[in-house]
Amino acid sequence: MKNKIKIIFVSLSILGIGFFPSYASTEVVVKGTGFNSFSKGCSKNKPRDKGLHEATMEKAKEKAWKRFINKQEDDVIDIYDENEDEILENLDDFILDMSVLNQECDKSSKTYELIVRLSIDDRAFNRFLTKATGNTSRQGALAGQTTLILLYPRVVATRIDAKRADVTEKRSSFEGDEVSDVDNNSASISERSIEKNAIIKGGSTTASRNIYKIGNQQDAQASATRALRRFKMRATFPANMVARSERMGVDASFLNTLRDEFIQEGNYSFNTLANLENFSMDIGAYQFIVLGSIDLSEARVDQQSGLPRVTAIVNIELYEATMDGNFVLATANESYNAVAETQEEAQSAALKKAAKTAIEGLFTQI
Amino acid sequence: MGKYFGTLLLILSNYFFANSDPVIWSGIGYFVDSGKTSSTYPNLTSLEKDLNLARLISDKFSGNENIIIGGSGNISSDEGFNSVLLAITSEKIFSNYRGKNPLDDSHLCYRTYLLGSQVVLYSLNDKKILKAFPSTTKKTFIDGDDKQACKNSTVSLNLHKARFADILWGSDFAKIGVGSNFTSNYNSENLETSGMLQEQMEKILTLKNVFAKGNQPIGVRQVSVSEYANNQLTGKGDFSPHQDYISESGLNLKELKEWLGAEFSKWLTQDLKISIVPFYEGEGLTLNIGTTFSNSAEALNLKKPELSYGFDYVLRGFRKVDVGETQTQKGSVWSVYSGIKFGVVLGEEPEDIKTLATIPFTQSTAEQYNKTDIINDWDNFDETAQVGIREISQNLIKQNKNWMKESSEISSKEFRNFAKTILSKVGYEK
Repeated sequence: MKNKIKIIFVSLSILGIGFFPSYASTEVVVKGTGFNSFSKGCSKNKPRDKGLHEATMEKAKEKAWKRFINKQEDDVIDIYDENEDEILENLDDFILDMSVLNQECDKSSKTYELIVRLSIDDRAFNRFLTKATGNTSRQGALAGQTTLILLYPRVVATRIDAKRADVTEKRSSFEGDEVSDVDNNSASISERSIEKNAIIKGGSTTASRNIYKIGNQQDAQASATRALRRFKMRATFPANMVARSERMGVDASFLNTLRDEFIQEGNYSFNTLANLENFSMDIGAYQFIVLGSIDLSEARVDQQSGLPRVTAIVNIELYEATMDGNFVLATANESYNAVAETQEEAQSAALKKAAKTAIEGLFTQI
Repeated sequence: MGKYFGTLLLILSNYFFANSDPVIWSGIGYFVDSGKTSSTYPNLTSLEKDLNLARLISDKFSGNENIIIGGSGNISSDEGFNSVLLAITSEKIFSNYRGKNPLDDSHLCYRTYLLGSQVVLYSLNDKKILKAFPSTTKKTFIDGDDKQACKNSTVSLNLHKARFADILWGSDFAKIGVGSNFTSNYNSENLETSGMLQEQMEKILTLKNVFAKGNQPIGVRQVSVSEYANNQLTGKGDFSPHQDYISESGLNLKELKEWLGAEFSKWLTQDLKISIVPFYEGEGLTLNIGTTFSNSAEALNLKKPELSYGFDYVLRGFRKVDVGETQTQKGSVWSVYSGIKFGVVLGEEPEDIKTLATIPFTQSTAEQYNKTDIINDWDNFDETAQVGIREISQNLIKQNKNWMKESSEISSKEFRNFAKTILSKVGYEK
């Protein structure tokens, strides 16, 4: 009898589609808090402002999702970063359930806070990433190679403006017409020209110049390392080279000069570049060099979110270091934006994004 | 005919929505960090085999339609049914010498046995704990060992096991000199309702099954001990070191916290009528549960579900006041300063909580005793702490005016508001 009952239970439960949760998924739970200010008061512990509850819920959902992403391993984050836009567009495909754990509509401070609990389908997320990795796994030839990272993140410390003066310059130019005269026996070309004079006023006598201070090199180096990891490559940094050169009796003092040039002069000198070439040949510890700067702007207000927005301008070159010298393989001159709660966070985010994406771009070009 | 069939389907569907699917009984398990079952639970693992506990419980459940007898590898788990096991969560023995009995000059060696268990409903497919019902019992035996012999190791393993069996059975068979045949005292017919085994089996029999998704996990998130209390427990304050939680390496906070956590969980479960995710002071969230069923042992890596709401218990300090004496008698009051916090759990770090209620309280117990009696302050403080935990839990449901006046450190109005918030969040139903 008992067996019969068991059989009935099993078969009915199969019939009862939807009663059982889908066991094909693995669930990860994360929580997020959304926060907004309101102007029209509260009703039933919700703000009266139209759409504010939904907007706060969306913020809380985004925060929870960010928490989930931050829990992932570095290599997963790398793949996620490359596919972030597509994932965010289809975010609901990865969410099994969302529930509100707490909501507070505070009339005195005119603030509304929501805490949500998100159940994420980890298996669906991983399946997406696996598919994405399949599309991008290449550049096997670069695996195991080492790149020297000479990357200088900078923020403007002082700006020296150009001395302005009115300068009048007379410039002469010619407009010429060719006249050809060809007959059966000879050919001649004569030129007919008109002289024009122009007067240019204004301009500068001395170019403006920035004095920089060094930005967060650790952030830059970490992002560079992550970019290289995508190609299964290794990164090495000036500090490693100094230690190595001391053991080998090679002079590495030019590395300090190089950094100073980037900070004080704005760019490297050809003399230092020549020293780097000799150094590469002497040391022979790396196959590629990434050289350049990332300039971080002061924060300005992002029109959409009202949060600080920072632009990072990348100016870097990729060299191949061979026994015959260093050869430029690719260059990147790009800008990246980031928005965050504070200027420091925005600068950090912009720097990381710029370093990682630009370096990946360099190696993708070759 | 179709009408009747439709009605039958409707009735049956309601039946399913009520989560009445059978659960799989998968045996006895142990909460351990990693493969340390027999070293962490030397008495219970041995006793389990001696008394064939898994078989005894299986036999009790065999006639029940809502329980499928089977190991975790049973095909039924593939069908999506949840499983239930009885997890042993703590096994401790404390031996303390208390001097000589003034009446007959005999030695007083107090041996306290602490046993903790939880009925755990879990989803094998999701590797997730869905519900847990804790129970803890402390039982003290007074032996006549002198100071030197008052240790755990001087008592035979059989006596230790018999005393734990007494806790499980609710009986009083364990006497000095029990031999290996002590097991004959314990059988399925003489299980007392006051025993832990019967109590936990009742919980399994009346267990309401839940699905892996859709319920908000609530649990005791954290137990913390203030520096002041810590100093008092280690003997740096007004009292000697706590006999049960001090070892050569210092204060065993883990054991103390787990005991307090289990007590708190037990009362919350009982009073708020909710299942509580077990408090376990471990590394990370993964618990290895070794199950024993039908002579097979298996390690399950069950994960504590991420809590939605959590209770914190804070132990702040202890105070003893002597309240008068006569020529032969004395009166003392032992007070334990503590508090609870309730909130939305945001993450895994201690600060990852949005606090919704904070209730500090001071619980006191008084005792009048003969001056010749040997009084152990820590026993009194432990008892007071237990009473405090029980009282705070009960007062969340119904505020007791006297307790509110004497023990709560916040106003009645504030307490009521906090209690209301807590009850609404945990979904308390009268």
